[in-house]
Amino acid sequence: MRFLETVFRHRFVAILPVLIGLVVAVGYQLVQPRSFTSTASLWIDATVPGNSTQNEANQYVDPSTLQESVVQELLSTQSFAIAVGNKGPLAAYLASHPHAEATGLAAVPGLSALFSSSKGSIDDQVAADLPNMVTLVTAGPQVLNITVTAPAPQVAAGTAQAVVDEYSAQAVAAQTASDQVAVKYYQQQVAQSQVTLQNDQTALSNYLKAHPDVPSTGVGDATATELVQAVALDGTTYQNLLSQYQQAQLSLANVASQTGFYELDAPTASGSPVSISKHLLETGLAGLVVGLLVSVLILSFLTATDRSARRAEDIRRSLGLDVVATIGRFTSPTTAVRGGDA
Amino acid sequence: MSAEIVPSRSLAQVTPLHAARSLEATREAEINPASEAHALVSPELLQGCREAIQRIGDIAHGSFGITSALRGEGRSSIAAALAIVEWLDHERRVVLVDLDLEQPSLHHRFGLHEGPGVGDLVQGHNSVEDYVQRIVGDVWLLSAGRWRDDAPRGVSRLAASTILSQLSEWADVVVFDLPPLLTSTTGIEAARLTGTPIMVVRAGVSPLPQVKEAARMLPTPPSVILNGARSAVPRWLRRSLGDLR
Repeated sequence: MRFLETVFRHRFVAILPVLIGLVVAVGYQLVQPRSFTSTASLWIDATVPGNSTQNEANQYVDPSTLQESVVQELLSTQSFAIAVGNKGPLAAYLASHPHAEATGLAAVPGLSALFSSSKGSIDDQVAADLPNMVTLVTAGPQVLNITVTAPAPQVAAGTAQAVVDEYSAQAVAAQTASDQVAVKYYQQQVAQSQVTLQNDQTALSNYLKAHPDVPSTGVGDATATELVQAVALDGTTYQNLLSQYQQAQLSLANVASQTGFYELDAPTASGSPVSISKHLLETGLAGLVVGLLVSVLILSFLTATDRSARRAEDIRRSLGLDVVATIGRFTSPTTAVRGGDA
Repeated sequence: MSAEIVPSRSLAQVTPLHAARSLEATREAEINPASEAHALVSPELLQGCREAIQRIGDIAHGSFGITSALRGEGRSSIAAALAIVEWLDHERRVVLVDLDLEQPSLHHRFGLHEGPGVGDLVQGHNSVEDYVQRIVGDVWLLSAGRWRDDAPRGVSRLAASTILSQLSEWADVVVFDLPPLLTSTTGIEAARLTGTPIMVVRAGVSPLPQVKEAARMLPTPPSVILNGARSAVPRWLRRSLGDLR
């Protein structure tokens, strides 16, 4: 109740921070540059390319969520961002529009000199801006939307496509490297198995020549039987390795189709800017909340520092004195006409 | 008591006492004194003082000492209202004594003469009846008067004199407008001369620690009149929060 008394006694103090917060927030939002968005939708298969351990470790997580985390990680790397910037129109746009990325406080007239970040190379700008321009949203267990917000529609669409392309290239590169290792490994294994098989075949052939009475199946001769079984085992091993080698070669040849995703919807250049209504509402609400918080803090301070008696209860509780009457505000006719109060 | 009720002991029965009487006394026959009393003090003050008298209890013969911790808390207004209520409601002869010797204001409030008053009484040999001035009806003012000594010495002389007993004999009720306890050099001494102490506390102005300090200085715990306590919170909100009964 005492706080409410302070609120109603200091209505101006209560309302002003809220109004200032609202006006500043709305003004801030209004001076922000126009922006355009473009979205690419990816269909995600149940595998994460080049990272089988991640897939196994997160078998209860949706594929789209796994891919989202991978793309998010890549976006934070400079090499990926620079590749996207150069593959798409972003780098060229930033080069031709040096002040295009001024947002936030830097977009406020008069504050740009104070708050704009120091200019580095175009690559640095791309690396700094791209993570803030891209929004990843999983639309379902296997659909990932990549939305790019940019100051121009073509830049938004081109950058979104560049993100998809670069991610695809990264996935292909990772899969290619993995397949190449597999091919090389199985190649060596096949060659070694082939040599072993040939050696065992030679040994069997020499033994049979030296013992013409022994049948080629080795039945009835322990050594021949052992050699025949060794050749059979070597042949089976060789065939298995050859099969895996061919599988690895096939995988390497088809690596482009094994990225784990494909593009469902290609990004398009939207002609109209993003509506600021939502942003205005959000920023306005944030301004209101901040203003309200400031107002509450000020009023709490005023209430805490107010040591005066405001109600009869204050006197009874604090001083233990009997309040025999409570008189509201009054205007004394005699005071007004004849003199002042004591 | 409402404004329409006129005391049975009307002005016509009150004998003029001294030449220092207020000029308003010459118009007494033409003016309804009850109406004039209501014009002098606001209804809120009168109602508040009625409640205070009811809570404190009826004193047929005695005195109230109206004091406060600091200046500007509405002490003189409430003292005047209390005096008028005693006359209006209980038909008692009341003397309002301005003991705020450092900054007397009651005579100015009612358009009366600054003196002679308490200061002249303690230095002379006249009786109280010679120096009181009528405010309205049977409500009289004994102003602070013109002091030739410093205020503390004046209060000491007052304590040693027979003025207080004269006042008690001549009037039914004496209301003292006392100086503030914390900011006046005579606050405590003056308060000790009076009967029922009433401390005026101005809501939203008087700091509680200072009110507490002032109350402790008095020989008996005072009754408190909270002045200017109109809540800024809308009535409907207070009612919904259970603050209004």
